[in-house]
Amino acid sequence: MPRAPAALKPKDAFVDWSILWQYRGAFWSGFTVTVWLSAACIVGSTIVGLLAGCLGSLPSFFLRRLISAYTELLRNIPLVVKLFFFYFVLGIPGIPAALLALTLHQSAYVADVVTAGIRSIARGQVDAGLSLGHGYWQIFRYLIIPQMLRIVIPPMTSQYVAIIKHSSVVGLVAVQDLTFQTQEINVATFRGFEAATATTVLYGLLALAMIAAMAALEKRFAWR
Amino acid sequence: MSGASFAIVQSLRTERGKEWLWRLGVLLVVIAGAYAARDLEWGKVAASWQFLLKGLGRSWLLALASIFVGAVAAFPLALARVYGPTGVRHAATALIETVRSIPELMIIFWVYFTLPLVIGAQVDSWEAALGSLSVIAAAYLAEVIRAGLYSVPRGQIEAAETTGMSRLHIFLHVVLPQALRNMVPALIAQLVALFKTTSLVYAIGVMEFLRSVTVINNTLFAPYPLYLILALGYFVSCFAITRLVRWFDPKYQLVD
Amino acid sequence: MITFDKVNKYFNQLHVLKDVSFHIEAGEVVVVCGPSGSGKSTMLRCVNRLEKIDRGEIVVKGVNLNAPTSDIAKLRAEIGMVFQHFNLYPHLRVLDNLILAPIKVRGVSREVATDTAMKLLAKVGIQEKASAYPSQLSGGQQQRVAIARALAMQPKIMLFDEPTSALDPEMIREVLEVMVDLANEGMTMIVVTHEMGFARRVAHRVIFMDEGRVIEDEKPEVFFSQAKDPRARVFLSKILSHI
Repeated sequence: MPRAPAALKPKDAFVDWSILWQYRGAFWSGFTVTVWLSAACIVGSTIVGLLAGCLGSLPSFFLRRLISAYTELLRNIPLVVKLFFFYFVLGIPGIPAALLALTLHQSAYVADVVTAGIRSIARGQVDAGLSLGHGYWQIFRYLIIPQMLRIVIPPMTSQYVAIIKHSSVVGLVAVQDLTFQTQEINVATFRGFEAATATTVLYGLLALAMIAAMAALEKRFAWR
Repeated sequence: MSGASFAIVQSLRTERGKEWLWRLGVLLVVIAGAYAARDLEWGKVAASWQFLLKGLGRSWLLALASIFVGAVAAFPLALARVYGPTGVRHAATALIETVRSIPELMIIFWVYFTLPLVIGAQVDSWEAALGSLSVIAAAYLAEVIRAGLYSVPRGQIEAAETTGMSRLHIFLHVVLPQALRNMVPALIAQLVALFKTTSLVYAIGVMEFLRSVTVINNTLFAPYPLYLILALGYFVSCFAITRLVRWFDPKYQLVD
Repeated sequence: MITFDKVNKYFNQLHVLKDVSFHIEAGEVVVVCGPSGSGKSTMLRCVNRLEKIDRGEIVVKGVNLNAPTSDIAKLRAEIGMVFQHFNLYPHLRVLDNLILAPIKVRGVSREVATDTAMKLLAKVGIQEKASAYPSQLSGGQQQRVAIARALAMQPKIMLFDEPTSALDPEMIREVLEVMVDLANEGMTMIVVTHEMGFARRVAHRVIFMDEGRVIEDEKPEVFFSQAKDPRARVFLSKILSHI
């Protein structure tokens, strides 16, 4: 959806913030789309990524390689390419295509975070579990997974913020998220500066809210 | 089982044997994929190979140019954030964190659509692409450099101080060499990320790899071969850069 | 109770255990010492098969560790192990560290397990820390919790892998005292340590290893006064007189 640049000369010498109030409906609807799209992809990529990351950490050479092939393949192809493939080539409608592309894309990063988290758990933990007679499944279930969940909170926070940011590309397949609405307002009013500023602030607030929520979650795990 | 075949089975159980088995499997999958793709409309697409290659070249050019400009800007930014006086430090931090918290696409739109309104002059799409990607690269690289500077243990600086070196000399001869070495993997990882980000300037009409493919597809309508080329082009480019990471990463060197 | 017969182990090309043979009776306390890299920790880890061996035979409580039919998990549950770096579970409170294995491996009820755990914590002198996390304890306290955790499974054999090496000097004593009590109660123990005072006080035998071989296997009074092998004498002179 490339468009000609909006007004090329400054139309008025002053900025007019009233435009934001006038277009509050568009802002609100774009904001809600961004929020629920991000939320859905956070949940989806966490589930897929946790599963893939755990599978990739099992003591099986081929499983490990298979999962790392999965993450490399997804990480080395840009999100937009996947999005366009689902939308233009496979003909999936905008919102499901966006959900699918974003979830798949970020699940690879989550899987890598999980694998790294598990790898960082000291070998001694497994030794201790084995020496007490636990089987591998119990060690995974009661020792590895709970410790991993705590370790991955900080890197997971960056991944979640990345999802919110990356959700902005869905406008390219006509999903009317915050960035999309901003461009609409820009085109309609030539008030790109005010709209872009407001949107930038909104994205910033979303990121901050995410960081705060994850910090609160981290605090609940008192150990360490 | 005869002795020789038993030995082969045994050797496949070793890590090295499994590695080769895996490589063989990947090769087979690639061959099967190529075989499955043989009936796609390659004839239609073949004539436009130069156009597509140029598109990929432009993506590379954008990535390399903006990482260069970004690195030049990132160094003072990182130094300001780490060593600057309070006011400068806060300003640098605010700038870096703001850019990092806004979607990349939003930054591209800022530079292309909004900057002209502010400065009152036209910005063409190439300038906007290079400008916005450089801004993105600068902010992310500044963080990489900062992490590199912090990765040098405090004891190193204290040890240097006890020998009576000046602060500048400590920075140049003790901190910087170690920091640079530690930041190389993250630096190259940023290059991969930036290479993928170049696909977003599609949105402002720059004829990079993604737009080249979509433009050709609009006239030829051969989506499957074209998107295969698209995915392969990006994958091979990014994969090549990640292998560079391994080559530089001391941890990988030790294993191999 | 524990028999090693010509046990050999390799880490890739490195031959870490060379024809290690010995026999330990029930109720015996055996101290294993030797220079670093002599294979003593590896030998200990073979007893509950944390390491697999390449040749030879290990029989523990009548179970052959190499036989594919042996139930290793069941055997491990009866062999307690204490590690140099404690290896407490950081995400669980002290009490939960103690009751996890009894509940999940033995199927003991939570109430019974808690009851046993509190008695064991009292025995090692830290019942007031039951609801603390491991990171809130000192090294000596953590190691005592680790001993209690191993004892919670009511093991017949206790393995100690350099239990005091990671401790600050002022905390070594509190851990050794718990171990001395355990030895006096008749527990079968293999202790890899350089604490020769402990060996003198409670060990029935001292095994000295060097370069993967058992060099000496003597009563402590014999070992300390008239070790036959020069390597053992050099080791002793180094360890007993570091300034």
